[in-house]
Amino acid sequence: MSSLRSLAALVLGTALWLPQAHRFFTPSPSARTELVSKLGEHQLRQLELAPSAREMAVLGDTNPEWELLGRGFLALGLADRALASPELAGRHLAALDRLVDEALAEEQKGGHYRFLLPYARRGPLPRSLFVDGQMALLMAARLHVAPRDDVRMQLERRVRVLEASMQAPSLAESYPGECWVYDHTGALAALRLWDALSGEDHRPLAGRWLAMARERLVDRQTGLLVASFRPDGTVLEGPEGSTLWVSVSNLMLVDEAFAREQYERGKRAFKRDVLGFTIAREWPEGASHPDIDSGPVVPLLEASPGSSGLLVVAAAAFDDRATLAGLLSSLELAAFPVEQGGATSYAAAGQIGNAAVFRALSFGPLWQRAAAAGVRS
Amino acid sequence: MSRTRGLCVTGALGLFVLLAVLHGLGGREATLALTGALSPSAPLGLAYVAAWLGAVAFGPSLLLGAFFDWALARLRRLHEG
Repeated sequence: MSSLRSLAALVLGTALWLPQAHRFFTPSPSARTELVSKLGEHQLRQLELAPSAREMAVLGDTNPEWELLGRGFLALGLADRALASPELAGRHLAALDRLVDEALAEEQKGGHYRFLLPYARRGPLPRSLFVDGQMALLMAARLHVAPRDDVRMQLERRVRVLEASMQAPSLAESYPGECWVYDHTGALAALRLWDALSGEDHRPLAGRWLAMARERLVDRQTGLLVASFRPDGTVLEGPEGSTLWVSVSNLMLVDEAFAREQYERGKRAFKRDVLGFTIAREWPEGASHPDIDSGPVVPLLEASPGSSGLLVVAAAAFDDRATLAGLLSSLELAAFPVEQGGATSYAAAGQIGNAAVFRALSFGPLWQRAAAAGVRS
Repeated sequence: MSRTRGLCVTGALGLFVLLAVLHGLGGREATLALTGALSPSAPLGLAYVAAWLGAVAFGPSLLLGAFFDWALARLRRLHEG
């Protein structure tokens, strides 16, 4: 009788606690404002260190792609913060200059291979759309905060390269024989950011790409954009959460209705809520195959750090507050926030994860500018 | 204190102590090791993550359960008395 009573008490305790646990990990709106500022502070302090002493360098040793992506997320976040709060512009601009100058210098030294995984050398690769697109995003983010002639000239040259790549009969590659929706949409976002700076209009080019993608790059089973494909449009890998979340954020600048439809569809396929904590899978049900982009997948829940982290970016872009709150609860619980003298970082997120969360929580002015480029009021 | 309740309280406290010890040993580094290049120290990171999630999920559940068990036993005694 006593054992039965103890068991019932334990079940009651568990039933009461577990559904409430997330409340202790969900930042309030004011805590979220403080969080974005502290995440930014951590990233700025990192950039003030020698390049070899930064978390970014550790990340680059693991995966050179992530180093460039981490720079990109950080640059977009810093530019958004500087545009939203001009009093921050001085320090942010110095950090943006460092991000851009270092990336260009590294590219000059090592070529596109500097930011690619070793398998990029398995075949001919004149240029990588991944590198061109990310470099253009970096430079465009910098120029939206303040003009700089030498960077503008570099960006214009890169824009012409992107135009040529995106209009070529063979679809633009990031690796030999391998194209990614992530990189194609990244290039389109960079072109729209350039439009907002220059007064040019790449909407017709973006529209043609989207028509091609609707016809050839949408998975029939899920209705979602696939992740990768051959230069002839043959699909290599089906839909992946980590690719989709950033791609739909980029496509907001091309066709917001399509981007939102993909986002909602993606949530139905990848998002899960567990006791108030939100996580995301990397693949649709029954299509699991862990890879470098997914990160170590949590068994049973099939939570992917890569997909969950990048869903933060999409949730912020689409102003999906419920999803964002659930994701931030998961981060606070499982990503181990570390606070050091007014600066915060998530220990389990690495530089790229922290930069992505910072970019998400800063999201706003930059995309508004690009979305409005060329649109008559 | 009943044997079950004693086990619950000891279990809850044990989880918290384990977590505190792991944190003291350098939880931040352990998690970085876990999420970085999956270095040989990753098992420590995994233990840290598991202990933390276990402590969050089951620590308060066990403590609440032990409290309810005590309250029910007290009510029963009052009722019998």
